[in-house]
Amino acid sequence: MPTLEWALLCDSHEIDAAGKLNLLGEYSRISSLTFPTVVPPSFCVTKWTARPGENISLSFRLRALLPTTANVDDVVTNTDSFANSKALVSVFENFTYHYFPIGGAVLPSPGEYAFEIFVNNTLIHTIFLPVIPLD
Amino acid sequence: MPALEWVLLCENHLVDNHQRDSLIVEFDAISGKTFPLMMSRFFVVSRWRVDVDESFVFRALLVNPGGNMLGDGKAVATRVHGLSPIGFTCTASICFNATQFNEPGTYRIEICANDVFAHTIFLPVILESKDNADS
Repeated sequence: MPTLEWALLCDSHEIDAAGKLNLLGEYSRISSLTFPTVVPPSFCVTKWTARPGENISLSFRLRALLPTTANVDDVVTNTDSFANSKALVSVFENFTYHYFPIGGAVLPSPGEYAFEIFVNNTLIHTIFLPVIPLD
Repeated sequence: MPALEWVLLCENHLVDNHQRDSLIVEFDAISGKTFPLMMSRFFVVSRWRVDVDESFVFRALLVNPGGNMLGDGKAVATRVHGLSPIGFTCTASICFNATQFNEPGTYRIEICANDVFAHTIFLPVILESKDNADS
């Protein structure tokens, strides 16, 4: 069973020439003047500890927590599966990243949303995402 | 009591005009061809969920494989990202400068909030073989 090291939302990510990860524009809330609004182009980046070659089956779901009247049909769900393809050479190789695009998801109203991460259909982590109206 | 959402290590931590964080060169291990190994600068960046108007002292202790403290960083977490229906989030960051790793081994970074233990980051420091240029 892979272990989630961390998960966060950011505008973009890049791998530099040395193969190192840069996370750009990490955010933990969304503000908007009008509703419905959409999640800006961005990613949920996760880091996992997994055995070399271990297959990781991931699912993501964005849903409204509050208010409960929000249209929960307007959620994004997706499933991805990938293998930790790195060979077991050193401790470096046990980690793997995953980048899930979340831009464009419709947020019908202000409130508290939850971005949920599932492994093999088991909820393992929730990123709370407040969506706040701008005055 | 603050709840840790995520913590990671990176070589640089930037904050833009919108108070969003960029995490440059995330890493989970250090390697060097010779010891002692000097690392000029790295950051421990963390995200916390806190109650309204709660501030706290974020502390990161760097401990060598023998259990001795190598570094001690403190910061008051005050950069709050805003109110949501379930509270605030805030970022706390500590910079370690001119850290000397005298020997290979697994170092630890103990994360505390108000002197209450919250998390341990294990940091392998590895003697790099001559034919392996990865860092």
